Amino acid sequence: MKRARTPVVALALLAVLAPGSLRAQVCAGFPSLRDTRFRVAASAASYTYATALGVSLTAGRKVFGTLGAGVTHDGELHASTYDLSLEGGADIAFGPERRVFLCPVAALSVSLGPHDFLLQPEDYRYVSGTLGLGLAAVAVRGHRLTVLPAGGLRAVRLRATRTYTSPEETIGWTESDTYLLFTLGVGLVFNEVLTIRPGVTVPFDFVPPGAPYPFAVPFGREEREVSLGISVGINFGRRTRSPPQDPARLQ
Amino acid sequence: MPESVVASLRVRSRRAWPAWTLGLATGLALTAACTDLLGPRRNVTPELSALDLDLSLLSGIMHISGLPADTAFRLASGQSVSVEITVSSGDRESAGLYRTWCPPRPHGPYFNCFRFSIGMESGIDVRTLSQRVGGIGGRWEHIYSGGWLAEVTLFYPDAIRGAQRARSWPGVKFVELSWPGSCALQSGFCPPFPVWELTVPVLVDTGAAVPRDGTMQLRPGDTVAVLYRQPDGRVLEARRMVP
Repeated sequence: MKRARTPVVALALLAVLAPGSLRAQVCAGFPSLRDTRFRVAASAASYTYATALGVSLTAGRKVFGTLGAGVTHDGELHASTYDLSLEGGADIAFGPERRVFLCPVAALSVSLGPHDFLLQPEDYRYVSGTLGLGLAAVAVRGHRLTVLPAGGLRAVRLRATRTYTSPEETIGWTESDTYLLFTLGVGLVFNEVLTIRPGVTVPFDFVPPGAPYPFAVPFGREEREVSLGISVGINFGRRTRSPPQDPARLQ
Repeated sequence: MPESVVASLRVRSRRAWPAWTLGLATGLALTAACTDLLGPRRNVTPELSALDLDLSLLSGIMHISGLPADTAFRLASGQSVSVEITVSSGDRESAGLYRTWCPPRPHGPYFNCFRFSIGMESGIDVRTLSQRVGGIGGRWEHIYSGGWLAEVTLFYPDAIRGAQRARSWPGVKFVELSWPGSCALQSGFCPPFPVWELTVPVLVDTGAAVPRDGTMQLRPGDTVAVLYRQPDGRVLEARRMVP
């Protein structure tokens, strides 16, 4: 009964707390899912004019999947975008004592909004696909605290759509762009359960002045500005280790 | 329960709780520190190259405007530039200049932070909404002929919120933000205009002077002076006589 509740609680958290861009796993500064089945994480990121909040649920082991949801809100423009993301990847340990990790990741994200932006009958939608590679190392492994610096580089293909709807007509504009994203963070992992991970996201391709309009309007977009963020994750659903088999019973 | 198991549980609970507490405390402290360090100062004092005022007893609004000498200057949300207002008949108020154009972003789109327009359904006069406009902290800036279209000025820089509220009022056909020139959202570009301009609308009436009540009490023949202390201590001043 207890075991059945944990995913339900995690999904409830996912539904109640809104989203943001969450990067899961060792290369994002979280502990691996070697000993636990799941991680639920909440994140907050600060942009110049917007704040992003997010939650995510991660499941897997060496290969993992993360489902994330979030909202990015611009208080001055009273506008929000709602984000959904699905990410898959792997933690590949190597080096002495297997303290270094390499993590290939792939992700698909959809952002809906802002709707009715600036009181105009306009909606925005963003779809992006990501391929990336992360690198992390266990810098400090103490009795209760593990320090896990991590960084990564991602290539993102973004497709932005703006739709203007009036009683007479509907006009749509679609533009695509590719950009690189550099992430850096430090995971402070307590008792292999609780992680606090401050980090920074830096885009390599800032959208220049005169960029296609669907890219120019939105706020709190990772491809447009440096953002600072903090994530808190909790690993749960401890794996049950199979008891050592009795050699006598095998015979 | 075996002694070893009890001891193990004690050790486990002692280890777990302080670490969680420490973790949470670290997170909260980091968040608080970042918020404090990165948060904007509320009152700033840029060098202004011009200060002006425009008043209308008819609309009951006095507009004070200032131009920062540095055209790259952008006031952040929550910041203001404080000015002092004195009236020869005795009133004295202070006000905070804010951005005329929101939001303070490199590529816009820009709209007036304090104003929006209301268009009415056919046959309904916009003046039927006067009480509601006052209720959201605004006044009519202009009522256009026929009374079906009007511009509202708010006494706080949140035109979007004001317009969102006005959209649900009875008889309202549409609301629209106030764009600079032809800089509508659909056009995607703006003609040159002073994005760095600062302004503040101040409520005006003709009653007896009540200093520091947030409303300017003026009478025809009064002289209004707006004073701004520059960063180097010099005082920039604008004066007008009430017609």
